[in-house]
Amino acid sequence: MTAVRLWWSLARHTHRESRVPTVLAVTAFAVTTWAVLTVAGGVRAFQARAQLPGADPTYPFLSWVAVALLVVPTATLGAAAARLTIARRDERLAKLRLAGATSAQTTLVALLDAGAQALAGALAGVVLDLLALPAVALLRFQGRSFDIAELRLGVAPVLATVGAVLAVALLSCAVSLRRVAISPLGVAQRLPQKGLSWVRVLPVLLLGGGFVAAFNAGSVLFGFGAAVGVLVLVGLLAGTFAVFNLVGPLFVSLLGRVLAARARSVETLLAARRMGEDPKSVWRSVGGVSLVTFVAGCLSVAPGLTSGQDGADRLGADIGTGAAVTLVISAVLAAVSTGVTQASRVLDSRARYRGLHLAGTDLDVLHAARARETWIPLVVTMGGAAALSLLVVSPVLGLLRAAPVGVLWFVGCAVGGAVLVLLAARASRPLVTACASR
Amino acid sequence: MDILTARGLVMAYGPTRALDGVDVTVRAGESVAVMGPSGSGKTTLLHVLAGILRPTAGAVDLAGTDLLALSDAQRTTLRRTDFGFVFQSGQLLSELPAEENAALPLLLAGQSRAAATERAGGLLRRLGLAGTERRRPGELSGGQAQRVAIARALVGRPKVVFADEPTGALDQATGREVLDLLTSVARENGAALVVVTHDAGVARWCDRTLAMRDGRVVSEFSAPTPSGAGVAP
Repeated sequence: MTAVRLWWSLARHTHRESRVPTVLAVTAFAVTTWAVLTVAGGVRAFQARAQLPGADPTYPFLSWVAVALLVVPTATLGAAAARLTIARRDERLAKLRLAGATSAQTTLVALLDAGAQALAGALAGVVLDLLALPAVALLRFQGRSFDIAELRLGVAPVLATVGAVLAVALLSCAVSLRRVAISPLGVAQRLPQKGLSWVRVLPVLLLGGGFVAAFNAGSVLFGFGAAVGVLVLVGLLAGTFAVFNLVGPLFVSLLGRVLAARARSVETLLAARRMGEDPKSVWRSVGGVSLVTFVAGCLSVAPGLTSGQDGADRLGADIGTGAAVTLVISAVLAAVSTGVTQASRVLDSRARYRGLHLAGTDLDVLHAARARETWIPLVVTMGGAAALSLLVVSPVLGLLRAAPVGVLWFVGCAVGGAVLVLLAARASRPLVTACASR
Repeated sequence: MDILTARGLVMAYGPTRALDGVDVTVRAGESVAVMGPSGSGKTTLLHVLAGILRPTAGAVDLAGTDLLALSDAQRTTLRRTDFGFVFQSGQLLSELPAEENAALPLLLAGQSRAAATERAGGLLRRLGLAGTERRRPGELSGGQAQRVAIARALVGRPKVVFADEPTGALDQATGREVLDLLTSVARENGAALVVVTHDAGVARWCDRTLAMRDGRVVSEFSAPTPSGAGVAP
């Protein structure tokens, strides 16, 4: 009870500046919840339509593919939100500890903090979903737009989503707290960041093996029923993304090292050293749009898959619409992730920006270093993702010639995503100026 | 020769006066300790002398340049070229190795990386840090990190080095060692030194001591500090 009172009193008297991370976290939770509800609503609608007589069974399968494509961007944003809930609170928790709060009380205060933000965000996400439903319903699939009732989830799934968001936030908070050793002396000491291990590459081999096995055993798998085959395919796709996220930071770290060795300007040097120091956080701000690029690359052959087939025009057009919706949602998730991550990184670096500015560093240098920290890894990882996607679709590259519109999608998505990310990164510029000049 | 002169400095925050008519002169190459209890205006004075804060009234002159007539951007540049700073702790960038941390002001001034790191490396070795050039701040002890900060403050051959409680986060023995290095290396490099401190021991290393109370300089001594000045809490 004491801890609850303590938390409430602290929450009420939070300094205005410390509210920025709270607002960011709530926003991120809201967008995450909105994405989950929208996608779940879509899956539900396609499944309901598949029950109708004469319905095409391909649609529910395709909606699950979309889900698989969206799992990682959604999880990334959710994780960014969860991270924000406990960011910069170490110091406050340490002060509580020094003032005599027990370890259990400080843990409870932190969990209440994270839980309250997650709940507020999730509820805002539910409202956002309700507001956005009429717009989503305008999308035309199978020759008609949706009824709002088709897309609307029941109370139970909505509650389950809110509960899941809350659970993820609390779990993530508990895990993060274990990494911050708060001693009774009130010293919040972050345990040193462990270097990235090359073990991260191992899952790539496993996934490669999985693909080979699935291709060889494709007919056997589908022999067990379409559901098993779909499950395996969706699993492999989600696995590809997860692996992408594992290997991404390793790649950023390597890029940082190479760049640092060759940097001539101080802005590039600062950006490169930052990539080497905290590759995971740099990856979080550019990884999302790299995934969008990869997906867009893979989907660029989609229009060609169905062109020229009898009666397949509608399916082809629907695949196009579905792919576009999936990509737009991914890009929005990626941009929000970037914005949130960048803003929280600026807040984390408050003291260093202030110190650098006091010692005579122009704000322009700080802005330029931060911009390079985003666009250099962005361009390189997007290039890598584009190349990788071309490799994946290389056996059917001829389809692009049949329907060149796929190339347009690809370029549009990649450029659009990159612009969104750069804008999101730029959005925290005033925050840098404020932190440096305070 | 006077390098830094301040006349009639007043810094008012509403009815409170953090500085209340302070006059200070710092001669080229000399070391000045500014002492006084918490809230006496020491750090405010340092920030005003360094062009970080603009006083409510008064004038600051650096070798013939009126600091208060300069724009924000010009003062930022001046801080980079003519001043060096050593704070209590935490000013090093965690991602840069010691050598690059120390070389940062030169890199910011557009010097080539090779030349900047060579000069920084020389200073680090002079400060007893040979072999730690490639280590990052997280891998250094508190005393070592402060010595890197000193190298950074001196690397651009500044006219004045400002130090705010530079030994505040160190144990006494390490603090003395760091202070000895700070004063002697500043002298070797021809830089004047202004040190804000609580610690009467620190003042013994400086040529002159200004004692502050309630925003005024209440007394001034040449080294060593007489006992019983009653400035440290």
